[in-house]
Formats: sequence, structure tokens, C-alpha cells
Amino acid sequence: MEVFEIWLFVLSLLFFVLGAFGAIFFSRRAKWANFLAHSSALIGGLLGAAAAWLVLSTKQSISVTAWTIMSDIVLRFRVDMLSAFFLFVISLLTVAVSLYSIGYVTEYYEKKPVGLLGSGFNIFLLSMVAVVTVDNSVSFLIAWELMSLISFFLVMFEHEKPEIRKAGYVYVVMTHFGTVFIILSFLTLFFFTNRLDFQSFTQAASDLPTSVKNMIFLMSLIGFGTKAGIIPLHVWLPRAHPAAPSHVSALMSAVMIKTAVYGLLRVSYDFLGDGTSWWGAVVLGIGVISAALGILFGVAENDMKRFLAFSSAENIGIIFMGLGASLLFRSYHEPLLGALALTALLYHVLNHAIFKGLLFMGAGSVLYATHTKNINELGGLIRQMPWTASLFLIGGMSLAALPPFNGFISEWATFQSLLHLSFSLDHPVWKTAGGLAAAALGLTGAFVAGSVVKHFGTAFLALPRTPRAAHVKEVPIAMRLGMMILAFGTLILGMWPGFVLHMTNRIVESYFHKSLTGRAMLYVPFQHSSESISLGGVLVILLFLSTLILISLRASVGKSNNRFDETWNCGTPILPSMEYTGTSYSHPVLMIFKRLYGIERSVDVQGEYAYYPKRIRHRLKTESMIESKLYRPLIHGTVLLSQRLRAIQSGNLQSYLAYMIITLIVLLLWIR
Amino acid sequence: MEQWIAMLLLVSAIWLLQIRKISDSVPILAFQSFILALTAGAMWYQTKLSHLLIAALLTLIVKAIIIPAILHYTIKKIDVHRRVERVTSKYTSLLISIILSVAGFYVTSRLHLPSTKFGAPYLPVSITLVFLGTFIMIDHKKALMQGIGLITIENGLFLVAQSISYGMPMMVELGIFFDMLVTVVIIGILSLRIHSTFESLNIVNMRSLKG
Repeated sequence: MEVFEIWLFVLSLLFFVLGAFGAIFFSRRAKWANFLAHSSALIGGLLGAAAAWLVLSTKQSISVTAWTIMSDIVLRFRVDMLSAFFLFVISLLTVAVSLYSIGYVTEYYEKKPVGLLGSGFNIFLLSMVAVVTVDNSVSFLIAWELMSLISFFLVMFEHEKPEIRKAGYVYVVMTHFGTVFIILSFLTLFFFTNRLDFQSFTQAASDLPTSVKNMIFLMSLIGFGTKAGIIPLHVWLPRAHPAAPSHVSALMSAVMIKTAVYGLLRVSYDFLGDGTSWWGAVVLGIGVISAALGILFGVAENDMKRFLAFSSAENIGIIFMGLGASLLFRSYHEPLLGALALTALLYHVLNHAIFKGLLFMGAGSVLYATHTKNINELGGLIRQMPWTASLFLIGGMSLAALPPFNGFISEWATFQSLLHLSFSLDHPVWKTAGGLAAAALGLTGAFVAGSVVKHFGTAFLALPRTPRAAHVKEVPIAMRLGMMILAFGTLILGMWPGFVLHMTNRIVESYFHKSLTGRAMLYVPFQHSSESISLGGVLVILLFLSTLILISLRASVGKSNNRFDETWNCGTPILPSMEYTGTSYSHPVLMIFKRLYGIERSVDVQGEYAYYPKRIRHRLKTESMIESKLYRPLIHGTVLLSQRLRAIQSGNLQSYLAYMIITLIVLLLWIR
Repeated sequence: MEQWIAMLLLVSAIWLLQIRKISDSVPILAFQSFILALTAGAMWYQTKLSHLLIAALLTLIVKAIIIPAILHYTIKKIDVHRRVERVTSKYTSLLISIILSVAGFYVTSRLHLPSTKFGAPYLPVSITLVFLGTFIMIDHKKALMQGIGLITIENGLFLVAQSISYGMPMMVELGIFFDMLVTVVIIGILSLRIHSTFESLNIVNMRSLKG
């Protein structure tokens, strides 16, 4: 049985390799390259998902040794429960996104090297699978670096545009900043355990002194946090995700940033064992900041993909809230509650992958059809693109955590765990923190709903604002199918959470020795007994109440009557330019949080009389406070310091030689 | 006896800093390499290690004859009577070379390097040769003198290896000789090319390469 799973897993890797080489081989024929690359990725995804599912069902880890590089450095793939879960997430997204790509990549025929794109896509998938399955720190770092580099190349795919080049450079700098910290944390582990493989880390690291553990934890938090896009390390996220081709940004946002969550879970749960309680507090705090600020920055965006990128930062925030809560519960030895929080975070990892993949593909479809991401140039797309519109709406509703879609379940569970922080831990600090975090999550949810309404309403409803939006066609069937898989997933996971619990329980059991049933998901936090409410019961009560309200309204107001007529507009014809734009929709929020955005606004009225303007030009420029207050001085300081240091580099051969000999003499004097 | 030979090596290196014409450097270099061959030969005589003899003969042929010949040819092609140009004055360079020599002797006395019976007297001088060779490269402005400094450094390293372990393995030794030869050929050719293109061998002009 185990052999069968190993074969499935290895075959899935081989299909990615086949896609990578095949696409290059057929790079002369765009059609073949596209089909070969994405169909083999699709098959690879299916096989990987099957392998992961079997591993989780049979509770048997599998391991394949591919290459013994040196005695202690082995390229070995080991799929344990945690790896299998993330492998499942990656593979699921691979299936949907590959299907979508077959349609989406046709856009690049004759314009760009499709073979290279398809090959990069497959290597990217391969590297992500490797990141979550290898069990040696050296091979992990190689896979991690490969993932970073290949995603950088994919981001730079349309490198002839200067803004995309700039986005790519910001991305590559930030991702290497993070990698440095990951390397440091692994080196520290190596320094204290003298081993490089993960299993030895697991055995030896839990006995390390607390100060060392703290150091490792903080370094991996910074390192993986940069990749995850926590605020304030998120600056690459809203630049790189919109710059990449849409199917790649779907993968980056849905899956790649999750590999960072995997890394953090691996370090904090597997390696370090029991930790101090402030770890949880730090992670919780980062989560709150990322979630709240992420969506506040997102609300202001009119670029669909930039909004989705900011929303990824927000969702990572929610995931980190769950992680923080579970770390806190673990340090206070509350296994059941810790299990709940861990389940919430894993569930949200899966959910966010699904709906964010769906949304990015939806935004990609809009881009494919209209060639713009700016919602203020769109409008009325729902008439020509009903499929894309409804699929985008499903994704949006899930993002806004509306039942019965999947976003609701995991955010609900996260809420539960945060409230449990308040009600179950006996410390005034956690009691306050839990309440505040729950409130912040609530605020976040409201803003998410608002921005989904903004983007859906502006892009898909009303009249087309520009000719671009007026003459559009529905996207090809492959793209619709890819989105449909995920839309279907949002519904399934929203209505049958048991399916996911079946997977997450395997992980939760190994860390907390508790498993969650559907009932545990619905524990009422402020009652200490295990009483719970049932979702079905809530549904019945809601239905009952709404019918009651409807009947009472009928009784008091009477039958509703409709009249169909033209909208009165002071006698002038109705023009698209009169519509409410995305900018105006989010303007009140911008004004409330003025300080956060650093708004520059100018209104320029042209015409003889101010009350009868011929033209009004309105300019609104936002620059996030984090960039102007944190990154600008940092970059400025570094450049200044480098210029000072440049004095050493005189270009004079003699001085270089002098540096060498002085160093040599000093070293000879220093050692004895 | 070894002390006196070592002193001769030291003097030859300091002498390289005091020359007036570039062409003067070639016989001094040949003399230095000849002494070096002599030390290797003496060690072979005392230890009867056969590879020391090969090293001694190679030093004599390559460093004391072929390399000076190439350098001599190059200098003759450019301009025989060209004066050297230094960064520091003649007397400052003498002072600095004395300081470097003292530093070399002081450093070696502190290092407690494992040394052989017959090689030990050469150790301080060999380290000092490395220092002085680098200083020759720093002090002189003409590109050709950089090559001569490099050979001095190499001579120092050769002597370090000999005094610590009677030389490096034969393959390594051969490789270094070959490198040395190629380096000098390249320096010679490049100096000719640079001189014919820029009418100057002053390496200070390299500063304009800096971006």
C-alpha cells in the first residue's frame, strides 16, 4: 500500500519535470508547449493530491531518498502529516490553475516565449512541492531558493515594462532578506545539534536552552514572515503579485506564501517543541496588524490584482492570529483549545488557497478580456461575461466570510479560538488581547466585505465606463473550468467541514494528542462545559426568524409593488461617466484613516466660473505610511552609508594591495 | 651559514626598492632566485630528499634564467633607461621596508609554526619576503614592477613551504612554476601592449577605470 503512494508521489514529481523539459523542447510551437506544460502539470497535481490524501487517510508517512549528496546532506522527500496537508493544498491548486492556464496562456501566443513560461510554471510547482516535502535543512534551503528565484523570473515575465522590472527587483531583494534569516535559524540549529536533517532537529531541538530557542524562533519568524507577507515586511506583495502573469499570481498568492506558514509550523511545532508564551503573543500581534492594516491598504486600491495582493496580506494575518492563539494555548497546556486554533489556521490555509486562487483567476479573466486591471475603466462586464462574474462573486463572498462558503468556517473557528483566549486563559493580558484581536478580526471582515462589494460592483455592474469594457467576450472554456473547480471547492468545504477535519486532525493529533469532531468546532466559548450549538440549528432559527419578519412586514405594509421606468436625470441622458467609481466608493474610508495612507489630493476646477466648471480634474495619490516612514529612511540610510564606504574603493591598485597586506599583518598578529 | 644566506635574500628584496632604473631590477631578481635555488640545493644536500633537487633545478632554470630573460627582453623593447617612479621617496621606502622586516621577524617569533630542522632559519625571512614583495607592488608605479613584486612574493611563499615541510608536493610545485612562467609571459606581453597603446606603464592611470 505504501509503495503505491510513493509511486504516486514520485510520478507526480516526474510529470512536473516532464512539463518543464517538454515545454522547452517544443518552445518553437507555442500551442504544443502550452498544452504539454499545463496538461502534465495537471496530471502531476492530480497524482500529488491523491498521494497526499492517501498519506493522510492511512496515517503512514512515506519517504523517498533521491540522492545522497554527502553523508549528512541527503535529498530525501519525506511526506509526513504536515507535509501531506500542504502537498494536498498545492496539488489541488495545481489542478485548477493548470486547467485555467491552458486558456490564459493563449494570450501570449506570438508575443512572448510560451515555452519558457510553461517550463517556469512547472519548475515553480516542483520547487514548491519540494519545499514542503524535503526533510533536510540544506535541501530545504535549495528548494526554497529555487522557488524564490523561479517565481522572480515568472514575475519578470513581461520584463519590457519598467514597472514590472521594478516590482521584480523589490521582490527579489525582499525574498533574499527573508532567506538570510531562514539560513541563520537553520545554522543556529545546526550549531547546537550538529545535524542537518529535520528528524534530528525534532529530536534534539526541544532540549535546547530557552534563549537559543527564542533566537531560532524569532529568526524563522522574520525569515518566513517575509515570504508570507506579514506587515511591515509585505512591500513586495502588492508589487510582485500584480506584475506576474495572472495564473502565476494565483499560484504565488494561493500557495507560495503558504509554504512560509508550513516553514513556521515546522519550526515552531516540530523542532522547538514547547515554547514560552510570548511567542504566541508576538505572532498574534503580527497577525492582528497584518490583517487590519492589510485590508485597510487594500480598500484604497482600484487595481483588482493589487487589492487581491493586499487581501493576501490580510489573510496571512488571520492565519497568524490562529497560529498565535494555538501557540499560546500550547504554552498554557490547553490541548483541546490549541487543537481548535491549529485546526482553524490549517483550515484557513486551505480555504484561502482556494478562494484567493479563484479570485486571482477571476481578475486574470477580466484582464484577459479587457486588458486592464483598473476597475474604474471597467463596468457592466456581467452582461458579456456572466460566468466570470458569478465565479468572481462566489470567490468574493468566500473572501468576505459569508456562509455557506468556506471562508466562513475557518474565520468562525479563528473567532472561536480568539474568544477562547479571553474566556479560558486566566491572565488579564490574554483576556484583553483575545478580545481586542477578535474585535480587529471583526473590523477586518467588515472592510473585506466592503472592498469585495467595491470591486465586484464597479467592475461587473452598471454600464461600461470605457470602450474596452463594452466590447468583451466571455473567456475560453478551459479558464472557466479551472475557476469552476475552485468555486465548487468553496461550496464543498463550506458545507462539509468534516472533509477537512479528516485531514487536519492527523496533524492536530500529532501535536496535541486530541482530535476535533464537528461539534468541537462549535464550542460556545463562554461556557466551560462542552455544550455546543449546531450549525443546522442556527440555520433553522435564522430561516424561522426571517420568515417571521417577512410575514410581519407583509402584514403591516402590504404587498410590494414594482414600477419599471427610466431613471430621472434632470433631463440629460444617462452617461457612464455619471457612475459611482471605485475611488468614490472607498473615499470615506480613506478620509477616516487619512494619516495611515498619507493622502495627496488636489482638485483642479477649470472654467470661467467656479460654479459652472467646464472640467474638474481630481487627483488622489496615496502612499502607505509604512513605506514613507519605515522603508524610505532605511533605503536612504543604506545608500548614504554605501556612498561613504565607497571612499575605500579608490580605483587605485596600490591602495588595494595595501589593504591586503595590512589585513595579512593584522591577522598574523592576531592569531598566535 | 643559513643566516647569511637568508640575509642575502632579505637584502635583495630591499634592494629592489632602491633601484634607479627599471632595468636594474632584472639582475637583482635573478640573483634572488639564484640564492633561492641555492637554499633548496643546500637542503637537498642535507636531507637527500630527491624532490628538493628537482625544485632547486627548476628554480634555477625557470626563475633565475628564463623569467629574467623574458623581463629583460620586455624592458629592452620598451625603453632600457627608463627611471622608476615610486609613490614614496627612496628613503621613506627604505624605512617602511625595515619596519616590514621587523614586523616579519616579530610575527614569526610569535607564531610557533611547525618548522623543519634545516628550514627553520629561513622562516622569518620568507614571511618578510612576502611582505616586501607586496610593498614592491604598492610602492612602484610601473606595471612591470608589479610583476617583479609578484615574483618576490612567490619566492617568499616557496621558502615558507620549504622551511615548514621541505617544499610542497611535487605536483603542486610544478603547477606553481608553470603558473609563474605563464604570469611573467603575460605580464611581459601585456606591458608591451599597454605601452604601445597608452605610451605609459603607470598603473595610476588605472584609476580612470573606476565606474
